[in-house]
Amino acid sequence: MKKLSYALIRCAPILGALLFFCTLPLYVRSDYILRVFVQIGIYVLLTSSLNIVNGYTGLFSVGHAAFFGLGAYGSAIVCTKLNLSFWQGLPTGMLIASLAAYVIAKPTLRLKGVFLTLVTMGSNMIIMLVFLNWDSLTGGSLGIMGIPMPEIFGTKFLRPLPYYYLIIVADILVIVLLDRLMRSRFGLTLKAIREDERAASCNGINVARYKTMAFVMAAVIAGAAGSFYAHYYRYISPEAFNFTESFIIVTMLAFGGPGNILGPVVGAAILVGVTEAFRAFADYRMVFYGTLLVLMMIFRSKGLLGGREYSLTITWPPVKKTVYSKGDRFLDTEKEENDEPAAG
Amino acid sequence: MSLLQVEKMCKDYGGLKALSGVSFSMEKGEIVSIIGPNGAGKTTLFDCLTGYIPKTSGKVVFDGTDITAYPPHDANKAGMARTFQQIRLFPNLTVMENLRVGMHSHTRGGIWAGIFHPAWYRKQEELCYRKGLAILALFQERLLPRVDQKVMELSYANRRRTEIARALASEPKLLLLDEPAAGMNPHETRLATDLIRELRDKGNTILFIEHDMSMVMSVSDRIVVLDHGVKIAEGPPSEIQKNEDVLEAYMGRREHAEA
Amino acid sequence: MFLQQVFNGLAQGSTYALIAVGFALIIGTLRLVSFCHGEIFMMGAYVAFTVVSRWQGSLLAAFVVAFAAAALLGALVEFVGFRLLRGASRISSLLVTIGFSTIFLNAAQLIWGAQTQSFPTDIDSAFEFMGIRFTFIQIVVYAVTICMFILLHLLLGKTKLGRAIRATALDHEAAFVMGVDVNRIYSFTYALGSALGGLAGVLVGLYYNAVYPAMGGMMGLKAFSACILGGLTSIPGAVVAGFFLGEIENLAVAYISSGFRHVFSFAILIFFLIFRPRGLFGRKDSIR
Repeated sequence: MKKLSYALIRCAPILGALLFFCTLPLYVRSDYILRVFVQIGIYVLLTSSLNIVNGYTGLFSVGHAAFFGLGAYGSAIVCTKLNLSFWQGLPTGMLIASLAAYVIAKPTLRLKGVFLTLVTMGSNMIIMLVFLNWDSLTGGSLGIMGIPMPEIFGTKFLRPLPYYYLIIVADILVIVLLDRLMRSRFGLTLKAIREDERAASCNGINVARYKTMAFVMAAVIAGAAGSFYAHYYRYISPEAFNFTESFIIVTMLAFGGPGNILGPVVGAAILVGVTEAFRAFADYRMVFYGTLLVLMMIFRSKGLLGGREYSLTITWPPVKKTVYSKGDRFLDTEKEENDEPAAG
Repeated sequence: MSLLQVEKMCKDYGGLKALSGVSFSMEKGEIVSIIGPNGAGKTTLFDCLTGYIPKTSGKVVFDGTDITAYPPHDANKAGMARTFQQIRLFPNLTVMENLRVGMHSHTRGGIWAGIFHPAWYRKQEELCYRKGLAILALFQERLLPRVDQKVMELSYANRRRTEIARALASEPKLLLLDEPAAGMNPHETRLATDLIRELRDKGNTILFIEHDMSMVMSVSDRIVVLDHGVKIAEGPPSEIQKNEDVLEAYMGRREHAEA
Repeated sequence: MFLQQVFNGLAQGSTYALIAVGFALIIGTLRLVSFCHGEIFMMGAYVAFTVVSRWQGSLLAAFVVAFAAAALLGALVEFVGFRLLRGASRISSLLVTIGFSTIFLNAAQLIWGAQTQSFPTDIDSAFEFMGIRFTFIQIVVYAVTICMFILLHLLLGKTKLGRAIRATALDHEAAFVMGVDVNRIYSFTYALGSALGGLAGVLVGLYYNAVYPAMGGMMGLKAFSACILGGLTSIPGAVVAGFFLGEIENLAVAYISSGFRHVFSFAILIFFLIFRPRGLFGRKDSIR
């Protein structure tokens, strides 16, 4: 009993967020607002998954929309051609995205820095060209129409409300799991690679393997977001997954703050919100994003939340500060001259 | 059966021979130091041993296994841990996290364990934490109170210590230290010397590069002298001090006053 | 017929070489890759288009104005992305150049519209020489490219400024200590590289008689391919690789299929990135 109550206290912020978002439709009865939330939810998934690669592993991928698109197209194609449901399309989309990520990552992840960036950019363009030109399968530039909507127990998702709940659950699940993961041995390994690849490899880390894992994991989540996107809008076309889309995701991450769990949420929520608020200026949207990114880099290059890591859980019961032995072996000698933090 | 056996190690950079035919071996529990003037190929030797750069030719047998072609992470798994001349820590991670990364090779836990935290995983992490504290205890109040501080906030000397602690965390059979006393004042150097002695008393085998002769002479069991990529002498400190070649190549300029 | 294709490829190759040389100059000196080079190329084409079609300017005026405009844009990117971010992580600078590429692309769409536009000049005249058909514009392309290479060669090899650029490229700290105004050199190099890119934009716009906002994206990647092929920072390497890419593409289109045009450049790019990142004749370089 005591254990359970401790666990509840520890998870209080998560439960609070869950409660808040689940009851939100009770006060907000506008479908429009819910649609905005669904859109934010999709971008939170995308940005969080990019965060694994760019924020935690320290790679710099600018082709994330490719996996988003592969998830969407994979799911849409099996659902329209084979008459499957969303619940079968979703894992298919994730599988296709992860396979593509593996194929791209395996030979190229040993590339450094900007070369890797270039490859991710190029693969985004290649995958986009495939969508555009493989007419028989992808419908070419017309895209795919009439993607079936998800259903649960025979009830179709007609209004935005069920989509809202679906994406909220997916978001919170992904964020909580990522939070746990990034504070585990696996996450620490990724951070070590980000901090110093060479030192990481000399400490027994198989750098290429972990980079591939991070890349594939990000693609799986992006694929899920893509599948959801396809069944939510019920129409997809190649332009939704081009380099511009990748750029939007990169901007959201850079804006919110890479390398911490809440950065993607903040970035996606604010940028989608601002875009919706200034709908009248939709033509200027990308110019705005570009300018914002440039300004962000100049004035706050670590993102809105900065380089700090945030935890989603409370430490409970509070840990007593460990009392360390006051060894006297060194005390009789003179003070170290550079005990102050060294510059740089 | 010696712990480490290096046979005819060669490394060419284009036309430059950084190492040519260096051979030596180490027994378990020994402290061997590598000395030589700047550019003698000492760090290159370390890089080749730990698999960080490919060797041109030669063979490395470590603990009965041929590890010549091992990449660095496999070399670490086989039981080698090293520090760097220019400290290479993970600056945005805490001291304890740095040590935890050091324990990578002999712990388990991938994505599933990271998400679900099964019982064995929690136990392992608990053990790692305690082991980390035990290692940091070697440095006492220099590092212990700074367990949860980011490494980039530490002083230079403490960073060196953290790097040694991180290498120790992987329970190495052979510890390779690249200039553990570089940039330290005499007092700190004395502490580092004490530390190496303490590590030897605990049964560690250490191969280290150092320029500080007082340190080299007082702790080494054996000394290997390199010059221009060639081993010019090997032997206990007393012998090396008298060796004509060494004096000429290295200490002649300084009349080996420190020794 | 084959010879005809070779000469067509040469024209295309010289535009690639021109944009790649500008790129190599920037990478070599600033040790940083710019992701908005293709967009500056596109802006150059649009500026020339505006000069010719709206202001009824001559072709020469178009070249000059496009050159100057691209140089200005380059200097702007350099100032924001590198001068203001000196000491920040390289990722920040990369992000800034990516941000600028998006800004330029969408600004061009807002200003000139997303549709393809063509130059109104009468530039279709052609003549035959030894059985090979040359268009007037091909001659212009050859002439401008060769002039630019000669000028660049003279600038880098014979002038004090050129020496300062080369010194900065080799070791900017040493150059700084020797009294070179490194910041000015960076600005100048970036502007010069961008201006060459803008000039290539005018040539490509004239050559295909088509200007559209998305023309830069593919071209930026091609320039990158050429640079990597040529050894990333080597200027002669970039020239040779640019011509090589142009020829390969043209022959591939003529003898295989036009659908393979971009695939070839990408295939070459990825092949070299994976198997020989130092390019055909490059040395190992320290760029991240």
